[in-house]
Amino acid sequence: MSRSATDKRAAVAASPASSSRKPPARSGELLSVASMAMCIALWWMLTSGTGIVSSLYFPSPFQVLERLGNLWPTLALDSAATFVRVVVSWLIGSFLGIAAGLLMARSYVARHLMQPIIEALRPVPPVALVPFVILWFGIGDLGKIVLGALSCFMVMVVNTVVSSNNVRPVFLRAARSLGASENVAYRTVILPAILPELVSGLRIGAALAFAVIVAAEMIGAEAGLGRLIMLASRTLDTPVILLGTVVIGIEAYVLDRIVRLVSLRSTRWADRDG
Amino acid sequence: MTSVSISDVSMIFGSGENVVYALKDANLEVQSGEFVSLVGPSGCGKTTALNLVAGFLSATKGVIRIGDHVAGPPDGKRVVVFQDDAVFPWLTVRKNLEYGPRVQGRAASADREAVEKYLALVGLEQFGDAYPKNLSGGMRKRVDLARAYVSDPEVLLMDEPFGALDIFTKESMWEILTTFRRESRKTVIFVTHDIEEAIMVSDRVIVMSPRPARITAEVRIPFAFPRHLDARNQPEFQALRQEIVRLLGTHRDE
Repeated sequence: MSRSATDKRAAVAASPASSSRKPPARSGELLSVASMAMCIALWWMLTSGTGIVSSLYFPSPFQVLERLGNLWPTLALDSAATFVRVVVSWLIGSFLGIAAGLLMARSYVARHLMQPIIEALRPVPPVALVPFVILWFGIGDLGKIVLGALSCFMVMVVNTVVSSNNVRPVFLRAARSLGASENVAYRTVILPAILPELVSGLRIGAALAFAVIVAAEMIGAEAGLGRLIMLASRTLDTPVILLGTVVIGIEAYVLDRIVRLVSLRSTRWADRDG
Repeated sequence: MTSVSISDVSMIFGSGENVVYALKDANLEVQSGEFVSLVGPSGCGKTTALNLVAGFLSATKGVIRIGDHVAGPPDGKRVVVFQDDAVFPWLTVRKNLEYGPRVQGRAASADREAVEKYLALVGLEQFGDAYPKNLSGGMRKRVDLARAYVSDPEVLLMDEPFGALDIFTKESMWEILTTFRRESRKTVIFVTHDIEEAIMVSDRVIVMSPRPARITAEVRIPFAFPRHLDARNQPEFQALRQEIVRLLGTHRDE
């Protein structure tokens, strides 16, 4: 894309039609940093600063850092185990969910074959299936990946069917009349039209995969952040519990950011500004 | 440019006692390069007729020919401009214009030239890389018209394309149609319920009536192109308008 093209787009974005009143640049980020700093200061004050909260109930920042210092090799292994399981199950489950959703949106037979099965399984919280999964697949990676993939599959299949059905029929008709075959019309209209909703679904699925896999690790695993937290809780090792929780938060945040960055270009047309 | 021939075409929905004629015994010959408007109240079958020619519906009875060929499913030779906004929001303006040639497997330099030519003709050369969300409704309709012309169909079908626009935007659309007519003469079937619009843009106006939906009359518009907006005040224009209103009779819903 030429530079002048980029300039034009910037000019369009800055036109009165799309610009709303905005506070000064970066002030939002400053506010966010300030609120984080406040929380950490408050944490320190309530724990080691004043001792109002006993470390049995909530550890101080120094206790957490100290445990991080002597625990990090195990922590790194557990973090990696959880992250890999989440990413693998999320990729497999989402891909299968989107494929099944597109098939259901497209084919009458596929829709009526799959709809009842999906509707029957969908209300079941995936965590409730953990005992069966352990029974069938053991406490290794496979069971957790199956469970995470199942969760993502359910999210994506429903998301894909609903968003495909919401694409305005006039787009398909216009594409057909402009000379696209049915398959080409489907590929060049439905897929791009539902992409923003697919990205939302992928983000929801990623968060769900973390929840399900950590829960499964708590019940039975050889490694993983869920197992780490569960073991620590048996000895009331609250700094490690907190450490595990924080790492889960960081991992989930990183994955979410990656999805957003990767999808940014292809969903820009639907953003409210930009 | 191709002629369109509608012979004894009926479109029936329902069965048994609940049969509804969406179009009954329609006959219409549109000459190659002719601009024909279908006017009439809702339920008169004008959109049905258009969808039959477009290939979105197939007739219960009768034959529709595009040139020498019996009309089949959509094939890119009959492009439709709808009332609803059908500009693809996920493509830039330029990519929208390129869509027709692209899906038809053409990528000739003539097509690329056509894209730039029509962008300029609709006054959107500044907005080639903009996304439709940054354009007004009138600008998007211009993109839609330009996209139809870039695709270079044999027949253009327009289904109340300006029905949702305000009168000033509508008038600028009539001017664009006149410009396009000069650049590239097309066979056009144009559905509208706006009599003034029909007189402004057409060579011939076909009057339709509901219950049963059918063609009842036709009026030739004798004014030369380009037609100016002031023409509306001429007595000849007003006389034609009165004539069409009379032909529409009590069914008109203007």
